[in-house]
Amino acid sequence: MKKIIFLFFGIFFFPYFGFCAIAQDDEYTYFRFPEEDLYMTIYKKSDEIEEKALKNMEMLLNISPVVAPSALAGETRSTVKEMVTTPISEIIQRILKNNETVQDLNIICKSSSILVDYYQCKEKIQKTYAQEIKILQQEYRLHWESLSESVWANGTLEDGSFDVLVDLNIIDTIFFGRNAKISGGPNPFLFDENSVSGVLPPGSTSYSASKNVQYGSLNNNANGTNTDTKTENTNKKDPSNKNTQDPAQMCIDPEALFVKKPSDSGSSGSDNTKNGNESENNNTREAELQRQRLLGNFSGSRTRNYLNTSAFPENTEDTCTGEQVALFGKRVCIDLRCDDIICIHITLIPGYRKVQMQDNDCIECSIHKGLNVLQPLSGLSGKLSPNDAPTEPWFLTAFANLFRNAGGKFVWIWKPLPFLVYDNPQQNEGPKSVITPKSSTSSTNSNKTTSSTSSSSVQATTPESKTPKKETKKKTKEERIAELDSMNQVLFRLQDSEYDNCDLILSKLPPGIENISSVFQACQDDSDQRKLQAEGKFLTTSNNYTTRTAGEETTKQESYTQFFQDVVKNHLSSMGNEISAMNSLYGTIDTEAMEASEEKCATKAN
Amino acid sequence: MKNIFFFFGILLFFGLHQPLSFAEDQTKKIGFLENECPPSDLSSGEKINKYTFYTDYHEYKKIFDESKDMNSALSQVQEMYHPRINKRFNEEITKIKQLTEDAYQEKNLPEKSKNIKAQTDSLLFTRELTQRLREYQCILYQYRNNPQFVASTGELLSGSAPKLFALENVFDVEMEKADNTLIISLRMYAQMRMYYAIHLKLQMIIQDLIDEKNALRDFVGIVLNIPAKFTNSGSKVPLQ
Repeated sequence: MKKIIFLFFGIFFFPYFGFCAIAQDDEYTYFRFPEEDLYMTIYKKSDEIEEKALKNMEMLLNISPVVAPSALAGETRSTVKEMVTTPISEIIQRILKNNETVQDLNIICKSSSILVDYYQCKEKIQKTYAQEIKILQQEYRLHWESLSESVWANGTLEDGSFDVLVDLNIIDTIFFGRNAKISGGPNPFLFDENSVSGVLPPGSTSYSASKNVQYGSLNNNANGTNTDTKTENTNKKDPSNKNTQDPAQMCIDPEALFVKKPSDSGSSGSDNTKNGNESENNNTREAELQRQRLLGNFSGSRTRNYLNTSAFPENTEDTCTGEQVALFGKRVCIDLRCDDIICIHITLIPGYRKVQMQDNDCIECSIHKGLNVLQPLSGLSGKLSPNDAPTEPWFLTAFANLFRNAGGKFVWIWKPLPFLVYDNPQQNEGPKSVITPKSSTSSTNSNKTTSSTSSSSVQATTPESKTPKKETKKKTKEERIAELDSMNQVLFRLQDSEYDNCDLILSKLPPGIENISSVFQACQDDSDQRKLQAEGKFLTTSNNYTTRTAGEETTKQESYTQFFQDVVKNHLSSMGNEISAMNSLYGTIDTEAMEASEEKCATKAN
Repeated sequence: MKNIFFFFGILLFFGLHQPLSFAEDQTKKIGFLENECPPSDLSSGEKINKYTFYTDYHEYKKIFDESKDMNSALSQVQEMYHPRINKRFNEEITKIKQLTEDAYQEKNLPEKSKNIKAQTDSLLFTRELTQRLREYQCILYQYRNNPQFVASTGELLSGSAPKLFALENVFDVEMEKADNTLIISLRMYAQMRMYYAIHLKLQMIIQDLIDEKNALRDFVGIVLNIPAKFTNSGSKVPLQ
């Protein structure tokens, strides 16, 4: 049991370990500063000075229980027996307190070659003791003064009930997860990776990543984030790579910091792993208690964020054998072998998660993951920012600012969140819907002449295929850019109301643009309006049909024009989202594959 | 918002630094001052100066005067002095542990300045303990070289004279030990007084960060369910 702390904490707590070494030399024991009876605890610890002074006195006066009887050959047998059984330190204490007897002085003074008279002997003992105690008190004072100033801010909870550096380390972990740069000192809220053995090779990527957390080395964090992403993607795509799941991801539990304390886990000792199996049966009860203690770290409300069933789906196959304990939905088997020590053998069972696991549950990890997910939807390859997109500002602006500040990128967030208006996809339209780019500046009235600039930006930011392109494909792309250019011109003129006729608009649009539902709907409304106008009915801004008299026709015509412009503007607003979505779709379309497929079909047809 | 907490923590740190430095300066001055000890014939209830009385001193003196054994008298005085100091520390540490997030807000302080209030508390506590220590050290010093029980001639001749020598070493060690213990305890108290307030603030920040982290994680969980491609989708309803 005493060896648990050595295994779990002692190795990694360098300041604590270093202090233990000092304390061992100076014979000052290390203890946890209490908040209750602080003064009395310190006072009682000062008794160590007297004990050490008495031991030093024995050495200085060249006295020991073995030497003393030989120096008193003429004494009676009972006296010798008393001298043998009485520690010299007690005799010195009697002398210091004037409670000594003649035998006491005999023991001390006859055995000392420098002393002649009893009273001189006694004075010499007292002076020597006073000098020794003065030196030790000075040492004690310096030692505890330095210790008292660092107990609340030395990065460990071993010596105090709280620690400011530990709090900062917690914040660091919450922000950066396993990539937290916890320098040097201990990390009391992380499990010891030495407790995990089995399938993890020491040189694997995940092992190194967890090592960053344990040791907090600043040098090992250079590629931490990339490593995490790589590991996560590998786990998602390759089912055969499940064994490389980092066990440390199960162990990072910042919320348990206020409950879990290193001193509660046991005491230190030496390793006895090899003989664990031999005395396994003799310590079943202890094993059970320790197992409960281990499981207790994952019990209660803290499990909701880290060990939920969705993250660790139940494994139907019971692969744990013997006395192994199944944890994490039977995905981990822990073999407890106990002989005054807990030896845990953890076997990670291959499998994959049903959902994305928060293997690095931190703020930066969530932001990083969100950026990766949103990357395909990021408009014109990051040109559009949420603030520029015509969507609900109160929600998207908040998250957009967060993402922009944290990631340093402009991220466009897709409109159709659950509470926003979004239509169902039209089933009849094929995947070859016309791609209609729209730059971020096209929704404003002040950019009339930026069509060429916009098209050039589209060209610059459009994702290009990695494979070398043929001449025919270049033409296809140029044609597409020309379409985009013409599309932009039409949109600007629509916005400036140069085209107030739907037929005129459609004639100016490139082929296929009518498939965009909003434009089509606008033209449909325009066509309906014209029919109604022919029937003497006019459409008001309230979108109701009313019958008008001939005398009011002129006024209603102006109203109709205004209405049409409003319709166009509204559709432009909605098209802003739609065109952006189409443009993102354009970024994800493998044009070469489509054209190759078309060529293949054409060849077959021929 | 979190920057505000950090900023407040820094302000708290510097706000407490001055009174705590004062307390630490006081601890450096603790030590036995022979001239400050009262005369041995000081009557009970007499003022030591215009501020304080030697309350503890008279109790200790009474024990030494009435006891026939110096060792037992010293033990009794020790058992009186150290628990008293320990109790005072417990009371002050309890006050620190009862701090809340707005403990140092100006509205919760009775008078104008919070710095004066904090400084006054630290000053009074340090002064009280220093005074108690000096009383304790004075009584030990006065009885250190004062053999109380001179044996009679008959006792000396018979060899049954129990106590002829003073307990100089034991008294000296106890005086130095009490001094050291009080200094270390005051230093730890000062450090705890400073760091516990910061610890409270950091705990609040940690809790807020955990909530924000969970909220962000849940949001990303929603984003993960959004398809990467929206084929053939469009809005029929114009935004009004």
